[in-house]
Amino acid sequence: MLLGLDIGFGDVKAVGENGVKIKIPTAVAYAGEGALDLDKFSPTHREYSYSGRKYVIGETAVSRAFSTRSFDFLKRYAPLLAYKAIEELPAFPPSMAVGLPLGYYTSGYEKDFAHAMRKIDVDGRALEMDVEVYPQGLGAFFDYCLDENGDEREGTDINGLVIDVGFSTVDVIAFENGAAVKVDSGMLERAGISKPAQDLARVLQAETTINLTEQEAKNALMKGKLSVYGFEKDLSEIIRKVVEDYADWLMSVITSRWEDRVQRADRLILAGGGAYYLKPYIPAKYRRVLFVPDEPEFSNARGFLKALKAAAREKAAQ
Amino acid sequence: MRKFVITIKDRRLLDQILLLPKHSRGKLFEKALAIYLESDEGSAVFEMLRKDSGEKESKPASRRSSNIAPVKQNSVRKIFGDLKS
Repeated sequence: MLLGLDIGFGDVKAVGENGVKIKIPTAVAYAGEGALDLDKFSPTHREYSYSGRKYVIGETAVSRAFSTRSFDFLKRYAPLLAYKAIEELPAFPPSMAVGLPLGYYTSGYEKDFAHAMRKIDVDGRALEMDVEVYPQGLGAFFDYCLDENGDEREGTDINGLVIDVGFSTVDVIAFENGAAVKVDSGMLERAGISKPAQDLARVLQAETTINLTEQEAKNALMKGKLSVYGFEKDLSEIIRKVVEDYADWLMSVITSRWEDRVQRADRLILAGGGAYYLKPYIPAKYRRVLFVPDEPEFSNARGFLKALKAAAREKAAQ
Repeated sequence: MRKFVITIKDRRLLDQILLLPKHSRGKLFEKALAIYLESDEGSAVFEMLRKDSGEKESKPASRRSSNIAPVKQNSVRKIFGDLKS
């Protein structure tokens, strides 16, 4: 079993072999922090011992999750989140490929991160794995260029951009003749789907006096509705306006910074969880070159898995 | 015809090459490579590489894994381009 793992600031996406897919909210909180510690009576309650403390992860931690916006957060809690994903796999993966936001993909951070992920110690159980670290966004490009076995697809020696719209960041990977180009790739911080989620939270706060956490606002954005005093409030009209404004803003930022590459692109690959929201609002002139992969939020993890398969086969063939 | 992706790390050199129209950049590399190959250093390097590749080619087929399907070599490295940290 090999594992492709994409630890985003919104969700952790894991793709294993034989179509195994896992998605967990990137939410970590100390266990038993409430005034009354009633969590433990829930049948789904699960606490994890890690670095001398007890934590809850995922859905259980959404309403009181730590802020998730830094490399330190990733380095500290990515092993715990990876453990949670691995726990749900049918078999232990001896090799894993994991992503780092492009802006953090420096030699120092990559080494630190790989080191933190190679040996994961949770609940007194130590997991040791081979770890490859790739920049986020590149996973979506691997996903586009490689087939399920990790073989390169025909006709992928092309030019264009990957626009990977995550929760917090948008990673843009420029590619030329089927190879990524560092000098023209970049990360737009706080430009991800958390931006329209915050706008939605602001509108709702003004209209209903309800304060939503980022994760709750993201859920409301995804579901298109919110439960208020037992009534379901339809948010579709507010969301349409918020996302339309966001799509206009993001495309204008991208086209002004990558104007030449957008004009000459054979493909604009729109990936990441944000692709779901953005796709309907992408201006018609880009439709000819626009490509949105199936289940775009899994495209990075899927691509990392394909890259692992390709690298393993290339190594074996040598 | 085969295409190659070339990474130029020298910023000054890159700026100069970018001044050239796209269709003539390949020709420049062909010409530069031909001059290099004719030089003492270039011919020595390529002679060495030719020997190395000849040795690899002459390894008996039985030493290679027969149950592995052929893959395009280094597709991961190629797609990775120069993004590697």
